[in-house]
Amino acid sequence: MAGAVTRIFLALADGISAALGVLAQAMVLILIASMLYEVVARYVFGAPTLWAFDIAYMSTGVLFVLGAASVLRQDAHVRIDFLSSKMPRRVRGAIDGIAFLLILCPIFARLAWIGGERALRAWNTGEVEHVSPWAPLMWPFYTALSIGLAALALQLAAEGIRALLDPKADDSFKIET
Amino acid sequence: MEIAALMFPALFALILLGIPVAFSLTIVAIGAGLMAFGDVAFNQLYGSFYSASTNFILSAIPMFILMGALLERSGIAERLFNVMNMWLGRLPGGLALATIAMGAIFAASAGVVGAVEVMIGLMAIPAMQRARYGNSLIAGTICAGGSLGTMIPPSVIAVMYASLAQISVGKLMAGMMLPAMVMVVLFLGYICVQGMVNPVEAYPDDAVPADIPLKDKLIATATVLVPVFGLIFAVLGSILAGIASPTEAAAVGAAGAAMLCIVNRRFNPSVLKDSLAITVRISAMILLIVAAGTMFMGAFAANGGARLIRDAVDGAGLGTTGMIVFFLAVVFILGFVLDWTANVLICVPLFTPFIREAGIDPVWFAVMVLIVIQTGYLTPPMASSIFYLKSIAPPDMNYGQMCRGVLPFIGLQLLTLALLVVFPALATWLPERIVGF
Repeated sequence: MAGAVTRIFLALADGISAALGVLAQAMVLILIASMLYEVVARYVFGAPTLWAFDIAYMSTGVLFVLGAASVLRQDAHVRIDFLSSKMPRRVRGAIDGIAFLLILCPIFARLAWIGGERALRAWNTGEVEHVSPWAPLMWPFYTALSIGLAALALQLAAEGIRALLDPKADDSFKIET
Repeated sequence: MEIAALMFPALFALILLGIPVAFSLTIVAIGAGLMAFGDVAFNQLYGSFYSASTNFILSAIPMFILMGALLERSGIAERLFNVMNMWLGRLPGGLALATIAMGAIFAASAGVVGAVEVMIGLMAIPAMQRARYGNSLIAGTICAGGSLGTMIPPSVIAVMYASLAQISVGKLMAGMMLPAMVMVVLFLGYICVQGMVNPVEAYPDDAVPADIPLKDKLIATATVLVPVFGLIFAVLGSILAGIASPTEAAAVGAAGAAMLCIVNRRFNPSVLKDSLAITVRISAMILLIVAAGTMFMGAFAANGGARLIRDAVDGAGLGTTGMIVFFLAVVFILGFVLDWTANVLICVPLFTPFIREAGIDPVWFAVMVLIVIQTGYLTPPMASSIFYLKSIAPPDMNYGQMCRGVLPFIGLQLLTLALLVVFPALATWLPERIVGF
């Protein structure tokens, strides 16, 4: 029921979200590796690293922002379907469609834009993390946050379009194990 | 202030319409932010979002989730259940006792409620149904055992609470330990008594469990319990002794869980891939709520929310006791609409200043809040525990049986809360003694 352009757009959004989701998984490994190395460095080598703290918070931030879009695609953001599951399919689709496409997509697009401006400023001024002794450059982190927010905006548009065109028949929220 | 007062009804309306919690928080935050700041609202709220994405303490959350996901796939759960059954199976309500014990041990080695419940449910429901336990007892046992993930450290929710209230994670976890033990003992005692009063009838065609020699029992127990308790001890011990931050301890725990998988020959690329996928899914879900909730609270503060709460508390003329009861009631009621992440995010920053001002022990209060949140997790009609159970329940188990089943356990949790109110030392004694910093 969707036109070719819509289909291409949906596939594009899904593809970008999935790719960023894989990057988010890589962040989990980086996070663990950095923390394990820090523990070993402190207790075995007797010399804590300068960088583990920054790497840990940055990889956590990047992990959830990059993961958010693919989580939306999998409908795994926790929600309460207690009432909405009793509404007609079309009504539910309209609510989700309007909220995702017309309200949330512009909000996250705007936040992504602000994040992008910050990244650009940090790139131009060579901004570094000022509380850290390691003092890493900040633009890669800002850029990653901005990309994640933009992908989330894109996926929100995609899910909004899906909800309007073809509302899901079975609305039971899948439980994570 | 009118806007601040309207933020909550607006939030509940969106959530009840079925909009995901994180997005409901975002919409209300942006709406209220625009009213307070005009067009710079987006810049302000991006600042809130950014501060939530750069919180070092929260880095523990993905790793505790990964630890749980790997343990679930390590094959240790089935063996643990068999061992528990070997020892507890002959007691009245033996299988149910084994289920609660499993829930407690897994809650101590993973931090996420829900995952624990589904894991023990998948194993224990078929076993208990074969042994002809009543459906409501089965449902109650699974929900109660699964809910222990909130109270038994290291729980993800305690990490978040401590970071928001700016108390030490180690202290809070130490404070939770004795009340959690009381709760587990109450659960076990109740099941045992109920098993004696209403014994499960043995059917003649039931297979009689074979007698296992004591030596084999001990060997089986040691090979399962030693690694599991070793892992729990390493993670909790290093947090409590102050030799590692919760984030570092969580990394060690995740690595230990991976090692258990390898030792049990369950480790392969697809196990790693699944575990990482689940970690990203649950972490992104939780942390997006954290970020959105931080924006929500930022907008609430900008609209004079703190004054609103202060007026409400002062206007009601509550004493210290009244205030505690009021706050706990708010947490409980919010629990019907919000998931625990959003609940903690909203309540902790609002209540903490009052608690500090009144000179109430913050750890004691925190443990009470956690018990209330866990009770909310069990309480119908909006009980997450029952939603989780529904996803794995056999077709002959209905909603009414589930609700009846959890009732006694809700009572036992409230009893734990009452004991904690009467004896605050349950939460305050241990942290003073063992936290090494």
